[in-house]
Amino acid sequence: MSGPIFVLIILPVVIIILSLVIFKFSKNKNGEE
Amino acid sequence: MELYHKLSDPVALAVFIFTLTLPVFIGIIAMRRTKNQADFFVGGRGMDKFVVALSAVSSGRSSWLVLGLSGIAYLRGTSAVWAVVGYIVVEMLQFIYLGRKLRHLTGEFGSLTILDYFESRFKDNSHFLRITGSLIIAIFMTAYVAAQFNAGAKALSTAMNLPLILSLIISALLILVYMVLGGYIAVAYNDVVRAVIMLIGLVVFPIIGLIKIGGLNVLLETLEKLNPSLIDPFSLAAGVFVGYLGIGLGSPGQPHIIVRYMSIDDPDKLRLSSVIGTAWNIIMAWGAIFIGLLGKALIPAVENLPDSNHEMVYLVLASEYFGPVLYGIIIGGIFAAILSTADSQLLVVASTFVRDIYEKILKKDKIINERDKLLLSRYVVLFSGIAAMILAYYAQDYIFWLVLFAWGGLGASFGPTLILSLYWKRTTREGIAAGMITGTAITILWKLYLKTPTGIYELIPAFIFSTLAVIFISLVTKKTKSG
Repeated sequence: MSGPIFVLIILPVVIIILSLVIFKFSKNKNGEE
Repeated sequence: MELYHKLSDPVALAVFIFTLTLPVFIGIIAMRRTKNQADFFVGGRGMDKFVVALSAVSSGRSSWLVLGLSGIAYLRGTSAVWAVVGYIVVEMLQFIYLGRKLRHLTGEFGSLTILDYFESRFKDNSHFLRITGSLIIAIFMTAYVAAQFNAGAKALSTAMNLPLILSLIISALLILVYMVLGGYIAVAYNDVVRAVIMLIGLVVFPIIGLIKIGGLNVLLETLEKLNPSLIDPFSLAAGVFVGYLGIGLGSPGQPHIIVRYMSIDDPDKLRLSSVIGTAWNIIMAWGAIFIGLLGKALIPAVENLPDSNHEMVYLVLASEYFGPVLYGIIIGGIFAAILSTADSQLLVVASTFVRDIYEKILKKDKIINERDKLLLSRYVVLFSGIAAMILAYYAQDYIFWLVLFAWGGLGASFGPTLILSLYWKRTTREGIAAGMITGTAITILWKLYLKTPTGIYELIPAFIFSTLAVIFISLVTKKTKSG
């Protein structure tokens, strides 16, 4: 039963944590490119 | 149809009509902020991070999410999650990387469309990229809009027992009124309101369902008894698995999603939009999947769904679980999903005709005053919408044939070209043209002749070939001085 729990509960949480990590480690470019 | 009989309840009907007409009021409010063409097509590059996040995610999903994805979960069980993981991860990265860079450059160039950007980036005075891209957008996007109108009309016709032609006119008019008034700003704010409506249909609904069935463990045990493969997330064939993940390759090439990034007030705010957008994408997707799984546990035989259609599971459960108010909102939510995609796509079609074809090619950039440009943009939205409505009614078969290629065709034509133009300095104008043409051609050829024998989703080879075409042709042609 761990497979379905992983994809239904853990996977979405992991993706949200990943988005927070990328947010944290990306830097503002202050309008410069 | 018995399924919809609750809409004959006056309360459900009143709530449903309220959700349908609400966008018009938002259009009237947005009209005050729409003073020039940039306001009309990219919200004056002054949109809030929250609005951009919800709008970018909602306009990409359409009725596929509510009806299609719940249907996939009903048929395939927990492995349906792989149909959403690809695009959610790609769009998360898109906000932060592609979106921010594109917003910087389009702000610098004063670009209102992707084709504006390509022309400025490659100093393409011949307009070849603009003409090629306009053709691809005009064909695929118009078909897309017509198909959305058709889906909306069919739902409305069944829900309210109206003739199809009348439902089609009502669906199109509902969109056109607020679009003509408020353009992009009305479309984006409506996406936010619809997100709230969809929240009830995709969050409250599965939670109530899980409570009624006795919790997640009971749900999984019931599914396991029906068929153990329903709870095995890895029960898919390799080709289907890769194809599901490959859906995400389409996201960077959808002009109606990309234009959202171009509309934000501060590019760096796209960092936070990425988190908000990802959370919203997950809420919508997992909500639809849970509804499909609950439907399978409660109504195991597909023959017990109307027309034996697995995509009806959402509507059947909604009619069983909810009272008239929530049911009216949920039916309105399905409409919301359809309309939030249709209006975004229609705006792209209109911007292509006004900006790319009329102003830049036919008028050769002659100065037109802002008031006339705005008026022209409003007329073009109106006429493009009416044209799409006529196509939806008289050329249904042709439209559905074209729509089969739309997500893949746009994704393979504009995804690799946009990414390489932003991140590879050696890209040339000829390389971009080759990538657009190759992406479209391979999508159509693969879908027609190679999809069945290989089992591979057409977007994957088309994306790869388009990328290779950009790289190869760029390397053998002279480097364009960057704009």
